[in-house]
Amino acid sequence: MNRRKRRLYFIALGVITLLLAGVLLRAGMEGNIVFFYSPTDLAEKGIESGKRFRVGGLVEEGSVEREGTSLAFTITDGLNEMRVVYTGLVPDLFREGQGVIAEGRLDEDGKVFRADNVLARHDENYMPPEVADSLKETGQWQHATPDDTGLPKFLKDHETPDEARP
Amino acid sequence: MTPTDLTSFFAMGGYGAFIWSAYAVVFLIVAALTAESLSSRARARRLLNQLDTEGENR
Amino acid sequence: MLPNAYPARFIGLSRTVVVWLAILTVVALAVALPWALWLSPPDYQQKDTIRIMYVHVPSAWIGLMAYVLMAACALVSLIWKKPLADYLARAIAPIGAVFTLLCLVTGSLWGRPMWGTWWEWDARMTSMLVLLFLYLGYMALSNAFDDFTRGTRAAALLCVVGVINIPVIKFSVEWWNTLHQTTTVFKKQGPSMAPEQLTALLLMALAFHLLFALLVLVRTETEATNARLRSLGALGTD
Repeated sequence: MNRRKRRLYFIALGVITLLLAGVLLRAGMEGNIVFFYSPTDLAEKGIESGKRFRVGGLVEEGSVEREGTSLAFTITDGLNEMRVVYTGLVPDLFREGQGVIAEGRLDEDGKVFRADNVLARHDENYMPPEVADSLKETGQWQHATPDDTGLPKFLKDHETPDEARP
Repeated sequence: MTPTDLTSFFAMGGYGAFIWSAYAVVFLIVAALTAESLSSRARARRLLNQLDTEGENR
Repeated sequence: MLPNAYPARFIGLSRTVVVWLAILTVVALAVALPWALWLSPPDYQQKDTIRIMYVHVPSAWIGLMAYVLMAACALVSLIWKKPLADYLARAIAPIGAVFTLLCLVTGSLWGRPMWGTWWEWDARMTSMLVLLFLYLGYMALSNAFDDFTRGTRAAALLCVVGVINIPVIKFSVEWWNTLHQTTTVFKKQGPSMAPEQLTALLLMALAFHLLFALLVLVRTETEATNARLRSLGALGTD
């Protein structure tokens, strides 16, 4: 192994590492690392209309309206909310009070989010159905609210600041 | 186990296709890896034994 | 070739251990599979698809653990130039790659019915894919050179640099908004899973770890034997 060859290998290695770092950096800058924004993120940042992005949170209880294959629902993070309209099939896990991520664009007036894809999100807790039922019956069921611990990060991030509480 | 028990076991509440494919993929790929690991070890051992015998005869 | 290049004592011991590991793996699987597929209850939300977790999560654990082990061996090989460390690292790479691939495939088969997608470029999934490419990069680089030692050393360097990806995978679900949920088992408050489900998961994880150890020992012997064959001029050049 001569010196020139060895140098070549190390250059190749450096290029591979740099490429890898570059790909990750690019993904980060394009916002791919932030897979979705919460309604509060959107309220704070403001979004260009027509730009494609994802919004995530919980499906607000009692907010789902269905008409054929079309449905409308509200995504909430406990602080802010976003009304979503969507036509198509939703995953089996889609239901009120569950985590959800909608992909699409804001309406021209910026009030309604037109989703072309809806993904369900679940938390990290697993239990048999009987246990869940008995927790609900005995009133020990922890409803998904931003104040609960053990909730997904996107909710914990936007805990109501103390001064904002009544 | 009655036949209906078995049917519902394989149906997995309607998710059978996903669950059984996951287990099948894991089984097949792990079996292939194990077989490859054992056969290449056997080949290496055989070659080394051959060389050792040749060396002794020399 | 160094005099201790063929780790005869290690190989002799590993041959006995492999037999025991094979027996233990079969026993562990015989106990774990009924738990995973039948005895453990379904989940209240995800129904029976939770059973995919019992192969998905152990695969992920092996994929991560194998990489850390491989990087430790690569480091030993770079600093002390121990041939056994080279053999171990080269033996681990394809096994780690296989389990990482299994984690991705089973995750996809779980994501489709539950999340509604086969694949998304979220931080957890992307960093796990990077792990697969690191394994493949190590394997390609370590076999790219005619000179065995050179190839292994170059690959070892890539492997050690790639360790940065491990905490990224682990904490991706805490640092960023991801589609993937946060950690269930290694939590401060303890695992947030029913005991019967945790039993199924841990039994499967035990079986996977035993199988992993078995495969590593078998492939390490192959690597050591091939290195000896090379030094005798029976396999390529060294």
